[in-house]
Amino acid sequence: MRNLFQDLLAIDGVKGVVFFNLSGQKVFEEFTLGGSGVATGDWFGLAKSLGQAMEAELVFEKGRVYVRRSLMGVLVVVMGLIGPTGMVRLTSDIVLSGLKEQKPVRGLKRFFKR
Amino acid sequence: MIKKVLLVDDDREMLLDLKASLSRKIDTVAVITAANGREALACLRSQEIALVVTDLKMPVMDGLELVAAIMQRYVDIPVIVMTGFGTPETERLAMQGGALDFIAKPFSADKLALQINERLSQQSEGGTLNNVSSAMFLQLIEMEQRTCTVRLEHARTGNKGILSFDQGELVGARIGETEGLDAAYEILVWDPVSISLQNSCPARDNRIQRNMCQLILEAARRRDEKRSASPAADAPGAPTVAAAEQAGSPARMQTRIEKALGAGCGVESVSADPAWSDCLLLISRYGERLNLGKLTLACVHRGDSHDQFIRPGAPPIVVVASPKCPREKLMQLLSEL
Repeated sequence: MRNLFQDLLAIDGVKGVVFFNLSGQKVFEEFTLGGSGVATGDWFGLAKSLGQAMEAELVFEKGRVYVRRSLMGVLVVVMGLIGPTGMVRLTSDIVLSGLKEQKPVRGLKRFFKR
Repeated sequence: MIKKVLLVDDDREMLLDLKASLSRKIDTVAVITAANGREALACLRSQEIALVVTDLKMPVMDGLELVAAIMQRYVDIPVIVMTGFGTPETERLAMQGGALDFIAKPFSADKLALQINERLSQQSEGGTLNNVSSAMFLQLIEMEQRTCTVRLEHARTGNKGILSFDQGELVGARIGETEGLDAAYEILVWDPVSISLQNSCPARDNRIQRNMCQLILEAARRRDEKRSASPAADAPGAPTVAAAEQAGSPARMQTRIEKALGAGCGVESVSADPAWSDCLLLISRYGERLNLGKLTLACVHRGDSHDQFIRPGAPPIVVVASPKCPREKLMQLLSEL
């Protein structure tokens, strides 16, 4: 999972990445050293407060947050005040397309190693 | 041109779902929401709404009261009533009050989108014209003794006005909250304008009682008087008196954005939308709890073809922009304004 979000975490100005599944369970969370001040908190609550929005960029007094909803869950990227949003959006497109649902295997196939 | 549709219902979830569906289905409208009749009237006061869709049962001010208030002040705005208590009696009351359509809950978003489209296309059923002189066109309407509703947009300022004609006689005029003769005098000196024509005129009392020639002459005299009092006031590129009075108003903000990014920058509309207040407050609270400080700007994409840039305030200002709009530049500009 870390490998998947590595590209996002490697962008200059990105302080942290959090990913929730659709039921709100945290699937991944990692903050860089610069993001330790904002690491703990209800990120899913923040994303949920946006209602039906598919994508949002929120500019706060001390930083920016990029929220992206996908079929697999909700991605939250925390940035500094001068956030590289363009690059984050682009990388999120790539990262989220790499996430695929694991379909439950039925029948005999479930006994074989995949 | 993007038209604004106001959805009024106290069921917030349904309102947001409907807003998202309608925004997806009709790309020529910007959907604004209000939780009750009083909030809806605040929206009507602060921005130019093309159509209202309202529920009947709501706290604070119900749908029938809202329809009555609209018929009193904004008779040219069509109203569609939706309700979960759809008896023939409520339908009769709503229609008697002035509503044009009635839709019983539950309904599909497709059905409502169809009704909205039908009503909005009626507003330009007689055709549209760009870059014409309002005075000249309106004299033609008087000569032809037409019964119609004329919606005008001033090309320079983007201000919108509505004139109602009954058999060639001007019976009503409105620019936002300004009604009657004052509105007529202001509209008649707009030049050039974009015009859309509806082949009907809502029944109303004649609040003008002047012929077109008298009106045009008086409007020109007033404009000249205003110019001599303040020479820069009506110069091309200068803000109108109304705009100058409303520092930080949506119209003024739109002018500043277009000045900075160019007229074809992709900004479709700038408006005040109180319906965002609760949501922005909640986000701002989360921001403070997460040690990010207060929210200063939000850019939201809801799956339709437009982005919404929202600046918190009382009321929040919403800028609707197409994908061709330079997003970063607009955000930078909105942070500075």
